[in-house]
Amino acid sequence: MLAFVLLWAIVAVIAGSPNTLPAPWTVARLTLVETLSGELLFHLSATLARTIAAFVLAMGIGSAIGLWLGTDKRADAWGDPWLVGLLNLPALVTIVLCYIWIGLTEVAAIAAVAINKIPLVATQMREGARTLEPALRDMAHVFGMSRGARLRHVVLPQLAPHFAASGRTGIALIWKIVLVVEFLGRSNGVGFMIHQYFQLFDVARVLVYAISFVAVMLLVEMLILQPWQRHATRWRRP
Amino acid sequence: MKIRITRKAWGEAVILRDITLEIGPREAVALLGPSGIGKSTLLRIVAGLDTGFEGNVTDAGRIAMAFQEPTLLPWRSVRDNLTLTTNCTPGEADALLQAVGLPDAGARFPNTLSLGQARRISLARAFAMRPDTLLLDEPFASLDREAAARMLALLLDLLRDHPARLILVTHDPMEAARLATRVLTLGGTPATVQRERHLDESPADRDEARIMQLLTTL
Repeated sequence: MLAFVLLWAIVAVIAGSPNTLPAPWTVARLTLVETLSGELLFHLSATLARTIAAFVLAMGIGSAIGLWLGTDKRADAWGDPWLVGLLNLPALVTIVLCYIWIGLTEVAAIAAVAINKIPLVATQMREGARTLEPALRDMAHVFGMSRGARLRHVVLPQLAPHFAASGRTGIALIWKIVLVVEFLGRSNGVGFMIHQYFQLFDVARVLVYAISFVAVMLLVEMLILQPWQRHATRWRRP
Repeated sequence: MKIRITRKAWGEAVILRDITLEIGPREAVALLGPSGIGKSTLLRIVAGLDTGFEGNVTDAGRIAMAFQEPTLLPWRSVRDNLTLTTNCTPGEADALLQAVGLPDAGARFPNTLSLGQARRISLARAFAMRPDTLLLDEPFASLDREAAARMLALLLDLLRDHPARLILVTHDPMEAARLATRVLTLGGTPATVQRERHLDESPADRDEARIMQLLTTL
């Protein structure tokens, strides 16, 4: 990280063009200014809220679809072409269509992001569901475990590694799409601010918002996703 | 309990044919026969895991099974494995862990256990169901002789304290001679009961000489 900042500083000094590539200290100073004015936190939280909403929706719906397709061959035969089609649908098309059909609303923004991510989650969870251990299914059947208990104690723990992998790649993809959604049709959020400063060609402030949100996502990864993954797989450690 | 299997096939191949058994509530039936003859298939039918057969199984009561592999939930502690699958209380689980000689294993995860220990937990889980019918599929396979003998003695102790109807699948006549009150030998193609032997005394009362004598006749 330090090496990256050092390299950035050297290139910025050599380039000598603060409008195209501002130095790290310029970006740091502006970050402080934006933080003190409250602007940065306001827009960061708007983007974070959209990211969380889209993440929860995509993981929930995608997991349910993946589990269904992975355990039901007929459903899989029917659903597979749909999944392939949706996987190849460009994010931009979904966003534009959602804004046209639903309107320039929060619902359209979150739906557009979730729709982009659902096929990816479903594909990963389907792979997980296909590898469910038949011996454990038999055990649960013989011991008469209820459907809820089977799902909670037998099925979901087997899917946890796939869920974790899907979640970690998902959050990275989702926040990038959230930025595009904000860029195209919202009046707040990091994407909206990048749009504003892009029009003013203010590269320093574009960097302030982009780097701040990357930092937030790094914190989410380190403080929430990684510890959760460690907890979910603690039984593997002898 | 009544088991009636008129026909069980895998595709075109008929595996089991015309098997009719009546097993009393305290009987211990051993199913002997070579590998691949259909013993485990018969057990899966009794357990309700295989429904693609002609016939029926009635009056089995509450069923529990110890599988060939221990099939414990690896992400749950040993105690949770007993309570979550059988709805027994933590106190009952601890008492059973004590009974199988692993009183301190409750908080451990299954991947820290040896195969022999995991099999004992699997047996404890089966008894935690308070079963009317206990199904055992090669419960001593892949254990060394000493561990197998220990587990066999443990099974007899558990059955004395928690009586149940027992159906044991094995290819080892020694296990049948030590545990069973009735020994059925499956054979032929498709498999059917070729030999049936009722053993008079209780397995707990058999001494080594009697077991060796039985072995020659099974």
